[in-house]
Amino acid sequence: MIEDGDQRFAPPPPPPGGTRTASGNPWERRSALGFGAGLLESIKLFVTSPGSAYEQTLKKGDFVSPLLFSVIIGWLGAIVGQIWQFLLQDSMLSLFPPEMRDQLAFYMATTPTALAISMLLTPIFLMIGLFIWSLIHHVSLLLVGALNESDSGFEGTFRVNGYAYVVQLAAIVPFIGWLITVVWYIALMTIGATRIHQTTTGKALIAALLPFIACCACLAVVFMLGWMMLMSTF
Amino acid sequence: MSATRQLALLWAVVALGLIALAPLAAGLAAGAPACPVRAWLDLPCLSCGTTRAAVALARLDPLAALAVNPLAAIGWLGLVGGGLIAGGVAVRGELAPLPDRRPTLTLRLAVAAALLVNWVYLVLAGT
Repeated sequence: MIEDGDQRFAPPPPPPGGTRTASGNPWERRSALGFGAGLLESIKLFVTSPGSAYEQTLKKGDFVSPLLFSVIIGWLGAIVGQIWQFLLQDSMLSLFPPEMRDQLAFYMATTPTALAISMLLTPIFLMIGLFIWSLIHHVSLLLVGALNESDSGFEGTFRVNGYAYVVQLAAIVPFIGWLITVVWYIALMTIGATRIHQTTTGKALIAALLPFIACCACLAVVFMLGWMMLMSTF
Repeated sequence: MSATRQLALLWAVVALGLIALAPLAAGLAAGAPACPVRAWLDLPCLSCGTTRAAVALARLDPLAALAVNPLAAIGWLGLVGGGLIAGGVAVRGELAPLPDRRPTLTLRLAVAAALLVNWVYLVLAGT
């Protein structure tokens, strides 16, 4: 059982007379803390204190931890999303104009087979999505000069986005979960970039918004609709 | 396993995943919504044509992909081709660490120029 203030989950103290270097967030220290405890503590930390969470996060040296974290959280979010979609399909469709309902109903059609296939393939989609989105975000950071002081390069951006997948937990909120996800994701992209790439909040925020302004958000929508359509074919 | 090798293998998995999805590309893209920027401003956004370029590449028609959105086509080709090469190299042996270089102003300007030139092309070509 995890208790508040448990010293096992606190970051190691800074070296005497020196500045603290990132020692790894609880998820990155899961070999010492345990898989479940590391995951739950990291989720709690990224939700309640993202600045501190990214401060603790290692800057480089391991792609697996953020990838695994994002796939686990994204998978949980996908399961919750599918359950909401299954239960509230009619209510969700009633929010859209009549001319859009038929098309969306097609996308939202789900069967037990589709759900099973969806759960199996979701990790692959999450991996592809995280990689491509991290590339787009990295180009944005490059353009605004947010990488000038960075030592972690693309790996840092991958870490920012991988741990920002904690926003998938917003899928638990029906109807407006996607909106919370977008706003929260932009906030975490900004906070994460300031800590990992040692840049200013202004540059990090512009870099987070740039893909949306430049319409790469269209790609995310296409990806999401494509996924829903693929599921509706089974 | 070094971070460079992890990156190479991850890139390869992404490339293989995209290749596996290629036969479904046309069907997936058919349901894509219209670009909101084009709908509101009657101008293409920076990523207009990216989906069509992907569909053309899935048909193994790189010229059509380049005509729709040159930068997106090059990006898709680089993503898939680079992933396959990186994966192959990673499987054969340990990779050297990536150079620890910070981006220069020249690189930033080159990326910005590429995006701008590509967007002007999209406007002129009516993509």
